[in-house]
Amino acid sequence: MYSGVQSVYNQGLLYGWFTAMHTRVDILLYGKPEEALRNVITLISDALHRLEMRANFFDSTSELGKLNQTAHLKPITVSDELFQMIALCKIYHEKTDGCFDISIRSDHYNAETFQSLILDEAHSTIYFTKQGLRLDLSGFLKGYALDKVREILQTHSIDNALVNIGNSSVMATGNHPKGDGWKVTVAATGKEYLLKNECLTTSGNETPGRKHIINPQTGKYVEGQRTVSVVTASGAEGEALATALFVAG
Amino acid sequence: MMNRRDFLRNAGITGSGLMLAATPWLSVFSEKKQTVGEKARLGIIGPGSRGQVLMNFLCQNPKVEIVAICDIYQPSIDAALQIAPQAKVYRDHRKLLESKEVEGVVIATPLHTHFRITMDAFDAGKHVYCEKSTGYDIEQCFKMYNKHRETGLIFFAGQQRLFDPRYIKAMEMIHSGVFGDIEGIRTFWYRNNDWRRPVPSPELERHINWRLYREYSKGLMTELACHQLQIGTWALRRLPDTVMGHGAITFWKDGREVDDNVSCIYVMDNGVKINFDSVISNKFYGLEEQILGHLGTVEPEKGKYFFEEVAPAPGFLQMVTEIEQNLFDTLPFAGTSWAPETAQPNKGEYITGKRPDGDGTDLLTAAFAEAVITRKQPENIAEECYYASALALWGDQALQEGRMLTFPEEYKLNYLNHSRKPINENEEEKV
Repeated sequence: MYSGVQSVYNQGLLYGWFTAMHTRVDILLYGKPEEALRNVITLISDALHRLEMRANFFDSTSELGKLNQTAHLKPITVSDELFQMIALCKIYHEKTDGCFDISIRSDHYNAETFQSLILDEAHSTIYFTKQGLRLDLSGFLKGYALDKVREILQTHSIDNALVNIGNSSVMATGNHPKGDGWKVTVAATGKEYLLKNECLTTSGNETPGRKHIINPQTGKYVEGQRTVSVVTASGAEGEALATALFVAG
Repeated sequence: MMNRRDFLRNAGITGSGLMLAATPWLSVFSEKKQTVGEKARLGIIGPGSRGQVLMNFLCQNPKVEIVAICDIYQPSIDAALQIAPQAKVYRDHRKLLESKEVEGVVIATPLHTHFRITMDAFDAGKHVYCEKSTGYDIEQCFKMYNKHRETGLIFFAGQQRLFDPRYIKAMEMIHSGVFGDIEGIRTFWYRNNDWRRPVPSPELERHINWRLYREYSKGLMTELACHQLQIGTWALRRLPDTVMGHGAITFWKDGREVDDNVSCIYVMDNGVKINFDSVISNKFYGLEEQILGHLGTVEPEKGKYFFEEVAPAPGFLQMVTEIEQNLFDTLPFAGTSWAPETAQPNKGEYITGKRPDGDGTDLLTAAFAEAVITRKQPENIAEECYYASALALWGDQALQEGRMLTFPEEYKLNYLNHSRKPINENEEEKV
């Protein structure tokens, strides 16, 4: 898929879009000279593609892909970033009473599977006590990416931005050029959210035939047309919550 | 059909700098409040088929009163009186022009008469809407344009796409750079019919089917190309310097004198080209102006745009390109994960968000009425119309002569990349 940044600039506003994480990323910025805004979008694009190289479940050559193939043999030293992501997912697993579970795609999955994941913070290693354990960060990565984008925006003093990763993960910082905060509507429900330095995460099946989220309690795909949207300060937390609320019903 | 109020609201006439930059003639509607209750009193010269279309739009406009009609063909007079029963009937346009009641005229006669009637109308102090092509050759077009400038009277030509919302919106997007650098414009108009009108008796053949005879018309170039060439120069904001082409009668060998198969290439100084093709014995591809940018394509006749790679989110795109007219609007894009339909054909997006309806003729006639009432010539209208006709006629000349031509210096305006060089020391700058 083409991943170069395309953009349009008008009246101080820059809209850039590109593909990453199997979807389109939309970024709207203003408040700095055009070149500075363009530079920030390029940096964001680079960061998201790096993140994808690290944590793409579907790419066996990503750091996560390699971990999934070898971590049952011995503890594997991983990058700080991957360790941090998996550690966060462990916290959300506990907080959601298992409703958010990144081990859901493991062989012979059951509610205990997650316990085969051993994190050693002191050595930055990850170890699987069972063969067949596989970690899938797909349902988490976009939200985590939003938190990375926020860091980049802060570093470059961009106060106002609307960032959309695949429609399901939206972050708004500062204000719309003509108002306070940003107003975003979920197309399926028609519900409008006023976002003020917050993330809007939506999880669910938008059409009756679509099913792509597995319920940890049953091990089966959740069926039926239904969506859950949550507003959170952190994008990563939003992903965990939206998924957990969707599967919990 | 979109009514004018909807159009004004959707087009954001009141505030969009970008839209007014792409389409400066829309400023004609900005004084609409001042003209409430006023009327433009118009005469229709040549209410044939096209004339009646224009009359039907004008009659729906409360700001218009059709006070006179003029024709030499009784069936046209009868049909026109059905539309405007109060209109006085004339058979000689000069008599109509003597009427004090008439403020402006709409000229929809055969092409070869446009020049004389337009010049007479300006001499009589009347505002003019003339169907395209305005003149029979570039010299006539140039004289008509200059007469408009000298008299200060309103001058419009029948280039309705200038007021078609999908073209206005498309040009705004094109000029904002959304589709990248525009590297080519491919225009074509294909039909599969003989282009003849029924003739009640043989002696009327040349009068009714005037489009087919060179004495009256230059065929596909003057009747069709002038619409599409204007779209090309509007998109590029650049006028061509050279033209080449070929024309022939290849299928309808029925005694006509104008080509039924033409192809012209207009070349800009930077090498970008506008092509015009017309074949009227195959209609499969219909008509289109394919505007080719390095990031995307616009097909305004279909009302669609397409991106080369992943398309932008329409809501984001709209917000950026229309920021001046938008208030604190919501962006209705959020939902579950979006995935690009890589296996699907590129279906594109509608320029205005919906399937196009109407072709701008309603707004073009409304704009003319507004200009007559306010006596203000909208910016660039006369220049766009001049070049639309001049380029079509210049292309025809290239077809006739079978060689590459450069645009004649003496017929250039100071417009876009064309600049008028004094021919001799005595010539005054007119534009």
